[in-house]
Amino acid sequence: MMADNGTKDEELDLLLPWYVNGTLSAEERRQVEAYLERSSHARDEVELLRALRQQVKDEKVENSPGDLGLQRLKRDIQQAEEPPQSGSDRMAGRVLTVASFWRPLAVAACLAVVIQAAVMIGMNAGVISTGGEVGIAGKSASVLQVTFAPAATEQEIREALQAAGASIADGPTALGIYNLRLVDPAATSVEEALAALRANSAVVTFAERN
Amino acid sequence: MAAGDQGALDAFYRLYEGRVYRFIRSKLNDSFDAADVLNEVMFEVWRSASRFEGRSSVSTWVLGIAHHKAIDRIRRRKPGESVELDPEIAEDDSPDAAETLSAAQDAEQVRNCVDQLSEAHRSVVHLAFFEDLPYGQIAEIVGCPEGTVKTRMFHAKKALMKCLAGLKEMGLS
Repeated sequence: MMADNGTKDEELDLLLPWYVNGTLSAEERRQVEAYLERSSHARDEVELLRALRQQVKDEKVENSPGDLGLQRLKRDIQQAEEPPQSGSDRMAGRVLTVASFWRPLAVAACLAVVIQAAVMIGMNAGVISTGGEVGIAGKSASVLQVTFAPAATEQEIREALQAAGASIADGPTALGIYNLRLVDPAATSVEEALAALRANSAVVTFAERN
Repeated sequence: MAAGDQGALDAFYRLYEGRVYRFIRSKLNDSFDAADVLNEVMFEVWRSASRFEGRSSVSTWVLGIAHHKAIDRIRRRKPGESVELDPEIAEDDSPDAAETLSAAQDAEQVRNCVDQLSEAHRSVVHLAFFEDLPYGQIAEIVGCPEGTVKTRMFHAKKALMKCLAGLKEMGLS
């Protein structure tokens, strides 16, 4: 048999579980209700499905890991951010691997380069900039996210950023992700910068739009 | 959390941990494995939060990750570890709904029968009846067409009815 819009009863049978959980569209619900009026089989099915749903909802399950699970997660995150102990990092391929010991130095060096360049540009243009105005671009200006290879040197990172026309706006995050901004958005598009960063895969291990 | 904020991680974990654990538990039928996979899921959420584009709801996204991680765990298990109802066999000679209603009101019998469903069928039953999700959202989570979700639920129901009727015949309900 068919509903008034041509829907077969077999198709309406498939909708009964979602009639029971209350998530059908208004039109689907109308069709199912019409089906229920004319079919005792459908009414029995709905009653059975309601009983099954109630049992699933009421089922007692042992407690989830809770705070212990959260502590374990934080420990794993921290371990993933530490430099690998051997040549083969157990998380390789699954986690954005980062080496942290060199990062503060590399970041400081990169920032120094950026600040120096900005100051020089400002001076050339006859603009006197204060440190605050030079500002290592705020989060709002960042357009890209990258991570660098653990073994990448400061020079390699600097060259990769310069080739992409980008500079560090923020970071690293807890997972070693840096936010980048474009040095001159009029001269370099986000796509061009992204392509340049990705082309340097020996230094840039991850690059995405922000 | 996308910016590496551990406070946001705490809040997210506390908000979703129970639901995600229960979903994984329903798929794996093992509390230790479920705790392990929950950890993997939350790690993945932390790792990939910056790439979440908001095309689906957060719960769909995180349950989708949980689905895939649980499937990975099942694949690593030894074959034949669990015995599951064959939906094709179960569909034959299905009892009618009215006959199995009394058994469906027995919590232990329902749990025994749900545990015997295939992982794919248990997932759909859990998402439809515990999470009360629409079939479209379930399809997103388990990564299959909406029609497949509906037919999986249909087969799951038939398998449950057959299992419950069998228990009733044996005088266990």
